[in-house]
Amino acid sequence: MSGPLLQVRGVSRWFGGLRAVDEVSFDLESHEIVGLIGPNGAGKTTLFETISGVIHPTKGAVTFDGSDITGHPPHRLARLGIGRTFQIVQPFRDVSVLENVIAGVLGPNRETSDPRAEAMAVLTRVRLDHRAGLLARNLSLPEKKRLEIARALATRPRLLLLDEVMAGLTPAEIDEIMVILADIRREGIALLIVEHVMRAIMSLSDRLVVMANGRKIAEGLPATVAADPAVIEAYLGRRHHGAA
Amino acid sequence: MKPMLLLGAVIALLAALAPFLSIYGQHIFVLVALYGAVALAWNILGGMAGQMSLGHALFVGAGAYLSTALYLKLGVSPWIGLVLAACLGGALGALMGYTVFRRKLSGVYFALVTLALAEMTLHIVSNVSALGAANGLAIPARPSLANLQFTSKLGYCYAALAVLTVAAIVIIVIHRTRLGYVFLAIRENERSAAALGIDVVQGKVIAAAISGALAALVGPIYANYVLFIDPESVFGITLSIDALLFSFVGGLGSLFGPLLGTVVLVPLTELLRGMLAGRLAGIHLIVYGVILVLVMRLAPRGLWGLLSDAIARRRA
Ligand SMILES: Nc1ncnc2c1ncn2[C@@H]1O[C@H](COP(=O)(O)OP(=O)(O)O)[C@@H](O)[C@H]1O
Ligand SMILES: [Mg+2]
Repeated sequence: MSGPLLQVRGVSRWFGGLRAVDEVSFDLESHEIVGLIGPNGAGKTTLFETISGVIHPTKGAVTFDGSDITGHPPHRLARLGIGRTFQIVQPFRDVSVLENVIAGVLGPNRETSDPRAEAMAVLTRVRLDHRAGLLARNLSLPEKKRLEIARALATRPRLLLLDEVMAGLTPAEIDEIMVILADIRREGIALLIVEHVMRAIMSLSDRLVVMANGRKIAEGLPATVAADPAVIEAYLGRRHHGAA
Repeated sequence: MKPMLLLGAVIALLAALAPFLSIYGQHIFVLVALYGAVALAWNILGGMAGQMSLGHALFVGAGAYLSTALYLKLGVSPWIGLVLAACLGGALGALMGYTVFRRKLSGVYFALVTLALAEMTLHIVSNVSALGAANGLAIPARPSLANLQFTSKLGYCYAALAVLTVAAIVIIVIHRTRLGYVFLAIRENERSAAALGIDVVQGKVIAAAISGALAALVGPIYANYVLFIDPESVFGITLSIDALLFSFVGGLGSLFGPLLGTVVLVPLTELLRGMLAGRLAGIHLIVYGVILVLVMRLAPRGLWGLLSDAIARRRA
């Protein structure tokens, strides 16, 4: 299938009168990293949940690899090759780190010869192999974030949706995740990243999509977008508002 | 392969032990094996998949009444009754699971629905004269293998042990395959489970079906052992609570903790019943309550957790 891997077409999601996401469209090519940014409340998470099937869009359509996936339940999307992490980490707390990842290997219900070895290999990719035997609840926050990525990777996605995997981490921990994400894209997995850490998203992303008040206000190369008056206004306007 | 070998060894040991027990000992053996099978069945849904049932007597009762009624009214062999009982239990479990879980209702709702269905069925059966109504059904004693009746208690020991073994094998197989991880994921976090490609509703329905089928398998064996069933004894809430309680005390998260809970609590109940000889009816419930509180305070992961911690400490 040629054409974009992911197409978001005029997607809207209203909560009562509030247009959390309003007529947003963008494409994502395979092997591409797209950063989704915008001030708090811009609608990033809502758009994310719409793409991952948790929330149904009020209007619009999402296609993946050329087929319409609008309104498909999350487990179907995972089986099609859309992996995701949660902004608030959701590990299987009372089982081992390795079992968390084995669940990811087996989740999509495809043929696997050695799920345990496959899970170990994924843990090595996110540098958590030394924690395999630990209960997930006993991991530190940066480790839990990496487990979240490992579990999604284990499903062998073609597109990974990452919602604020760097939030709450120290600069050193952020660097570690950035290395991991760069590795992942080298393996040919496309990424859609929601992130507040500007340094990270500017250097990782091939393109940025900027949202404010539910609408897409800019799209393009990171350097271009950063200089866009509408983007500066959205962020500054927010700050002025906060100061008032 | 290790768990299967271990299971084989334990079963062989129990089978070898049974002939040397006193008649009373063999009676306890049968009770422990049958209650143990119900507890293991309950634990597949309640422990492994994390969906609490308060009505597992429904499955046991349905199995007991189906095979007994077919035998008494139509002369259907209890062996066929046994297979049909498992099918009925599985179908009931799947149906209950599907109606509740499809609506994404919470676990409390499921617990209440199972409780209500078991109680409803109890009252319906109590009013159906073809099923003996509240008086129940007596099975004439005609010992023969074809009738699933035995002249000695030893035969029932082996019949009960066979049902227990089936439950244990099913649990080990689940644990070693994808289904075990499906249940684990659903129990731990449904949102994450779905994000990993797991169909949460389907997983719960499968858990309920397997759990129901195994619990129903106990019904016909129990009926033929006692040669009498009535609504209260097989559909009653006491049995449902027992299954849950044995699992809690034994250790919910574990595969075989519920069996351990049964091994401890069933003989204890029988002992108390004997000692008090009908005085202070229901005293075992008070004892259960005390044990439950103690276990929750001292061993939140149940007796199984206590045991595995002790073994780990010995090794270290
Ligand atoms: N389930 C919901 N019900 C009502 N309003 C919601 C819901 N989820 C999000 N919103 C609102 O939608 C807007 C966008 O939120 P969100 O997508 O979380 O933004 P972001 O992730 O960009 O910070 C916010 O105003 C938020 O309050
Ligand atoms: Mg958000």
